[in-house]
Amino acid sequence: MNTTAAHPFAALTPNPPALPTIRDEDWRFTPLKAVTGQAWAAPSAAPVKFDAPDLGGPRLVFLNGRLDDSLSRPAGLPAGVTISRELPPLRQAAPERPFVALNAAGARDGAVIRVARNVKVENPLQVVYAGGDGAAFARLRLELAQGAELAVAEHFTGAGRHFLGSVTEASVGANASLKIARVVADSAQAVHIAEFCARLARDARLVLDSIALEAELARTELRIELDGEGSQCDLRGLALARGHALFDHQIHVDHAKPRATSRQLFRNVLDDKSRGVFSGRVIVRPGAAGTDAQQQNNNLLLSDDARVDTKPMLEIYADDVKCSHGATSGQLDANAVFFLRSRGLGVDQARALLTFAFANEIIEHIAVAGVRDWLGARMGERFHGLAQ
Amino acid sequence: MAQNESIQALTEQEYKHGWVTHIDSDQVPPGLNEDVIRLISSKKAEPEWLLQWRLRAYRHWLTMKEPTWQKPKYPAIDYQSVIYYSAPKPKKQLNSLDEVDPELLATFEKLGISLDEQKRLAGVAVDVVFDSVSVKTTFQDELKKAGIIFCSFSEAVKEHPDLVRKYLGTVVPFTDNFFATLNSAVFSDGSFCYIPPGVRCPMELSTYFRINSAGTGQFERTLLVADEGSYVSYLEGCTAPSRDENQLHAAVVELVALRGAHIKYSTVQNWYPGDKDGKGGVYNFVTKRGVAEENARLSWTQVETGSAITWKYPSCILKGDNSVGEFYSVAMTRDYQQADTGTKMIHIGRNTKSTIISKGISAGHGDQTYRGQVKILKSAGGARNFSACDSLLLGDKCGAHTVPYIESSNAGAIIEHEASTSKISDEQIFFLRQRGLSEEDAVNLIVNGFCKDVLNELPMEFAVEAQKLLGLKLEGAVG
Repeated sequence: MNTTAAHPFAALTPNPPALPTIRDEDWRFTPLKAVTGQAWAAPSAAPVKFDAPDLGGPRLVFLNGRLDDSLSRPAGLPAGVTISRELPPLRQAAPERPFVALNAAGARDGAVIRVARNVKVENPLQVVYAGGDGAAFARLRLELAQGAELAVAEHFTGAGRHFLGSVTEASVGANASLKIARVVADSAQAVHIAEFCARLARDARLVLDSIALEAELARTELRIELDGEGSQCDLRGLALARGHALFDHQIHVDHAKPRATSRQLFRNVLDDKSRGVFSGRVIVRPGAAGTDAQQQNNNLLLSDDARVDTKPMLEIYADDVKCSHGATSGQLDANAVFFLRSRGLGVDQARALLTFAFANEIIEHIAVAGVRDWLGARMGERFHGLAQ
Repeated sequence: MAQNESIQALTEQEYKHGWVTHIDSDQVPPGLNEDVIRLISSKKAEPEWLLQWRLRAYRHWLTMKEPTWQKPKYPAIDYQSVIYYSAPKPKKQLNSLDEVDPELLATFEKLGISLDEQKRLAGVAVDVVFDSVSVKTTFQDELKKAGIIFCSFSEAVKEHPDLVRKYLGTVVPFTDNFFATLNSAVFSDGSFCYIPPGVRCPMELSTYFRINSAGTGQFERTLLVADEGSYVSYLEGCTAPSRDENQLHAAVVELVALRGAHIKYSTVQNWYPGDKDGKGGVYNFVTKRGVAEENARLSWTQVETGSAITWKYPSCILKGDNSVGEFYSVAMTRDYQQADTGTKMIHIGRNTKSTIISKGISAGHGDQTYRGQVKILKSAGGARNFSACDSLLLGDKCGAHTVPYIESSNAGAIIEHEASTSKISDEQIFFLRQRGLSEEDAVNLIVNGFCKDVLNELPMEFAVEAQKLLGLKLEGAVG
């Protein structure tokens, strides 16, 4: 733990928790130079430029950690859905999660979205977190009552060098369904440390896509508690890293009750000197019979300077289970590149096409349609020559 | 249901190799300090450089903290209550089996590994380690003809000090980890093996370890050097008698495979696992590691059925280009046994390849973890790894965990890892029952099939023993 006098967040909160180092197991592959290398100040009032689509439906915009009334549009919601501007108390602030503790101390603004029993929300709700400078925190809470349905798109964006520590907590009631897409598309100097926690009741469903496109450091921790019989979660992620970016996905899936299902598919595409980290942990508690858990992590290294560290873990305390995990790492298949070249594609085009195909398997399955289309267009730009 | 009864029967089965052999031991008082280390060193008439090496290790050990990151939990070990040296009373030099202590021979017969039979089977030279000092070495002459050195560690220090000094600590330095450092300070004996360049060892080399004296920590040290282009297959097998107090075993095994050499290292471990309530049993905390130079090949095969706690990661450092590392493991835990085992494959050279096949079987309150690391350095272009780790759960009180670390810094490396965990399906049992097998035979058949990939890697002599062991462990368990 970092205990030097000059804590990087000292200016923001009186007693900031000690930050982890690579000597802490959970942070072993994620050096925090981008966080600890400077003293963070509160954000200035300067206007923030950000890059996020407008899906046309209801939208909340946090600028530098404050909900902005002029940009937000909490309208167009059916009866039974309420959005309230409040700072929800954190359900759990474990001391071993210093950035949650930091959020607990530093967050000034937040929102709670409640969906009443059996209310189905058609249009996805957008939540944009944008930053321009300094360090900000935000908190969001989603509460879905029994049988409710909601789709949410969370955009982490902004310009320049800034830090955002966000916590999103969701409780999904019995037979309710939550679809959520999270996209980090920020400047190449931005730092995002985000935590997403969800607790699922009986037969509840969660579909989550986490996409990282641009940032210096983006770490997303997903903690899913399958706390009801027959609950399901389907988690997918894609990190497209270049430059010196480090994208990190930390997944905890807790099978606490019988007959729950979990799926994980996470992919990293790593170019230049970027790094990808994946740590997936599935816990099957005693008595969670009939558990079905699958976990898959695939990594594509495009450059000799890129690096991937992956740790898919299973921790199983029940016998009537079906659990598996797999991880792969490698470069583009030389035979596949050769085949495309023999069909007249240039080497760059061939590589771009194959990389696009690898990444697109995540993109094309994103459950929130507006986000899927927007990302599809962004992908075309990224893999030049494929847009046409 | 019947299957549960069988599993219960399996869980309750007593350890079959539990007895104590009465042989006078030459012991140093319990506890550890520099004087004890000097005493061990002088008892063994060691040269000054080795004593200094031990003392440096001990001083380093004093600065180290016992690790806590592992899955198995155990009560704190009082290192001052351990007896660090125990040797059977010295007897005159032995030339034939007839001169060996008859009680010792009887012990081996109980284990079903009588030296007589081994001799007759031919091709197996056994360096018997009884407690800490080698009592008997066979087939020495035959090996001598091929230029192979296979002797106890203390003998090697006397007869071949240059070789020992050149390689000791080159793979597992005395600063390596808490238990390896402790071993470096107090190791009592072990085996040394050197295969000269281009020699294919004409027989399987083997050594049987036993822990005997009450409260004696066993600190073995094995050093195996295969010179350029040579081949050796080394077998290590263990059983230990019943004890109520925990016995610490912190061994170190170092393998050096020079250019083009091939070392095959096989282990069958069946130490006392403690009683059915988890009382007693051996703590098996071992550091095993090999270095492979260019075109060399290292192969670890282990069948771990005993010990209260098994905690080891036989590893390969693939230093030379085109070197190959292999790890095949079956680990079985039942009652309150715990195992945290796996391997590390460190790819340094170009076109290095590694294979990991790990099978875990957990029953009763057994708890086991596969923990492994595949690390591809930037220099390891064209590296290739395949890992498969499967766990079989028998009963709903046991645990099986998989913790692989995959770290790649080279785009040209291809890494695959897969793992699965499941129980024996009712359909499988039903099918075999319907074919006329008892439930016990059916479970046995399925477990043996589950482990086949690993058992096939064992040399013939060991494969038989390993299968027997698994069968024994499953005895009473339906099919």
